[in-house]
Amino acid sequence: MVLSTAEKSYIYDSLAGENSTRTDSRKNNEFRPLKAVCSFVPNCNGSSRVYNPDGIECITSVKAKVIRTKELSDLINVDVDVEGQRDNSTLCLSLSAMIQRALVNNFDFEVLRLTDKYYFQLYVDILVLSVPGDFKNSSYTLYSLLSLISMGTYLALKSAKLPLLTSTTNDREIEEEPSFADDWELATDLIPAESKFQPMLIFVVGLVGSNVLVDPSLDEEEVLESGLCIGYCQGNIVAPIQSVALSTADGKAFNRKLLTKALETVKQIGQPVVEALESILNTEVDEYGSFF
Amino acid sequence: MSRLELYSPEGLRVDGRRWNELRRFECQINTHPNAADGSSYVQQGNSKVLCLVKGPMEHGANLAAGTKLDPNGPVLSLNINYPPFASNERKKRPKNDRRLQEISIILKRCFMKTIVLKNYSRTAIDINLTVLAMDGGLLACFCNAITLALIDAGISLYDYVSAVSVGLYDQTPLLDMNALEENDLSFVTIGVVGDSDKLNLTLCEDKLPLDKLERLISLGIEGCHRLKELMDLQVRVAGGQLQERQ
Amino acid sequence: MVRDYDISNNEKQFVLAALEQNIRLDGRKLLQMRDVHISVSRDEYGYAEVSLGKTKVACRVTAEITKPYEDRPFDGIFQISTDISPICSPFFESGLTTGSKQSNDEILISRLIEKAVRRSGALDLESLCIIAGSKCWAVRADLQFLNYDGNFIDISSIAVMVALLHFRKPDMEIDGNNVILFDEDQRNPVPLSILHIPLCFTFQFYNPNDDEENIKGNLNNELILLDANLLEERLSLGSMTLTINKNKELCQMVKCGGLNIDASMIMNCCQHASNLVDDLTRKINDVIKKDSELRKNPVEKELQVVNQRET
Repeated sequence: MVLSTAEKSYIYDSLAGENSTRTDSRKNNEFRPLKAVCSFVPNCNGSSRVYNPDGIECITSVKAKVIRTKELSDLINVDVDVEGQRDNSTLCLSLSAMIQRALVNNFDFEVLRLTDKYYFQLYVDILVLSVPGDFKNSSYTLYSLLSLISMGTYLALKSAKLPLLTSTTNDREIEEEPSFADDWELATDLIPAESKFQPMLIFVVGLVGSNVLVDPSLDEEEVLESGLCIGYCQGNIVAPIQSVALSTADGKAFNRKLLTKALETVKQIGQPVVEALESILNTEVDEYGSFF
Repeated sequence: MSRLELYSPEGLRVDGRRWNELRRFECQINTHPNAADGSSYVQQGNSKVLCLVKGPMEHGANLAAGTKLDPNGPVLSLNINYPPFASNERKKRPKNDRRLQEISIILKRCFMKTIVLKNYSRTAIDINLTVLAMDGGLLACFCNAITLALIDAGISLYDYVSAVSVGLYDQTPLLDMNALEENDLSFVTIGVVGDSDKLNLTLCEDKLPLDKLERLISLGIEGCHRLKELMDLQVRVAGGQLQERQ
Repeated sequence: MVRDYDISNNEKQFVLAALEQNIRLDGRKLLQMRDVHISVSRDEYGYAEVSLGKTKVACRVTAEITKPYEDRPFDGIFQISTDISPICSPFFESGLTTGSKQSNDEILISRLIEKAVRRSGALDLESLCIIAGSKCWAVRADLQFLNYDGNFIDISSIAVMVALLHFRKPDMEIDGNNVILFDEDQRNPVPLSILHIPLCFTFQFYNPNDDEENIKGNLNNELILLDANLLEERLSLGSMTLTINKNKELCQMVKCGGLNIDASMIMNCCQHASNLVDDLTRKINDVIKKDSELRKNPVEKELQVVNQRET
């Protein structure tokens, strides 16, 4: 997006002041409307689609595979594919690495344990679709998709179902390959309802003046002084906390107070977002229903 | 070779269909009203394909630099997204997969004859296909999805192009194959224009006795006509809704 | 630098008007092929040159021993490389440039040949296996396009098949995990096991009416040509490639878009191709037979002569 100097200074002034007004008249801690559905890809264990009215869309799938391993960090593989970007572009690779690290660090590997030797290995594939033309000029701004992607991952993981294990869970003495029930009706949730564990979420906030903006829009990104991505998991702030280049404009330094404010904001919005996502999960999906 | 009985002596296929039955066909248009000029979603059995069409426009975003616009018609560019999770076994495909490249060329040439070219000189039309799940009939799904998305984008076509795959089990032709059947049997995908018997595209990659071809094609044409009706119905429903809104 | 082949309007109208009266510029009938000329190398195995009118293609087959693919331990490896270089015509550029129309043609040509020969199982891959999972023959066919006057696909399928039939791989013996290869002088090299000979036939379509009639009308009087030359190929509105073998099996049928053609006319094309395939197969087999007779070891020949006298 190309804004004139006058436009930029107007947006900056309206955002940075004491009583900030955002370009789309949202509150500082308000998201743009988002819609989501899950479990609509039949040959995946879990899937989700999160999209906003602009048309940006993030399709996430979770596929599980039984492997025999001792190395827990191998159990989660993340692959991000952004439309119009090459597979090995810096953006795709860094997004994949970031999500993967964040997931591995905050994952309850007990849910993946099958037996003493066998685990489920998860492949999380993320596809970002219909990227607006404005984004193609600068790959930096695409980092703002991070929160969308993490919500997609959350939904896909929570909606994932695994076949019921019928063989014994104790195979320390007896060598046995795990076997599963054929009936999908018996499938269990990857993350059981009673489990306290929740996958982490990543929020992207923009810093401008003394204000923290949640989910900055394209034109707001142009004038932001800095961008932060902050992990949130089960009510706590978790890694990664890092500054990201949200616009092509160079990021400026920010003071400690603002960082604390940003963390506070994320703590506040975390719970409502989780609740909203949970309500989507509870909506039944008709197998042949309309998802679009 | 196969452990499964693909066609039982009672005349039932693995998924319980008879030889001349289509899979459940669902389609929708205008699924992404803000993301593209035309969009569609096609579901044939467990195969799900999404298609977004942008255009006609002066500059195509997908066009390679230096491609000249054609004074006699639009320049079509086609991009296929086949994410690793779409097939049953997770498999990552390179961007320049030869098979997908070939399919995209076939589809491009197919629709260059279906779009009313003279209305779109010096323009670019971008077609973006995304496979969500694939259970056989890749080319057929693509073809149907593009037809619907082009209609939704308001691009004038001479007629619908509907496509379906037909396979041969021993002596019996089977309509609209799923992935299990496609793996073991040879099949041909055909695309038909409107209600005619005219073939716009045919693609057969496996060995097939020549004397059976005629039966396969005639069964395929019937299937295509049925799909065309279903697509037409959906387009009219969507059109009706549009009228009500105004 | 890719140059497009510009055809003046006069020339275009002239060719099309002639076609409408069933006349082709080189005097052939609409469904007649140009004469196929096949020559194989006398002093090495696996080299063939085929020409079809002015179009000329060379194919060389080579083999080496490698490790098979992990997912297919019992199969050998067969690759066909089709690199269309600017040698044959200025319309082709060296290296693939994505997006342009030329490279689209190149992709199609190489895919069609690949599917015609490799996917149809013309070469028995299992026979190329030496030790399952560790050693197998990798056969490679390199196509070299020498001159371009239309119809690369048909001629390439002939060239690859002739070269494969002509090729001999060294004889060998397996000793535990070691493979002993024998020189040509020690033992006669062995031919590849070829299961069938798939041959391509490319038809071009022309429309004497306008687009509307082609789609809506019932005239079905589209013109169909076999084995088009460069000029005809450039003017054509659509093409279809059939791959057929002597057993009347259809190995491939690709009609990528283009003019809409009635199913009955497509069936006629199939019929016509299946009539032609016998002649062409015989021609190929004759060439191979003649060559192998010439090749018989002179000593062996003498022995035969002696034997004949004794009886």
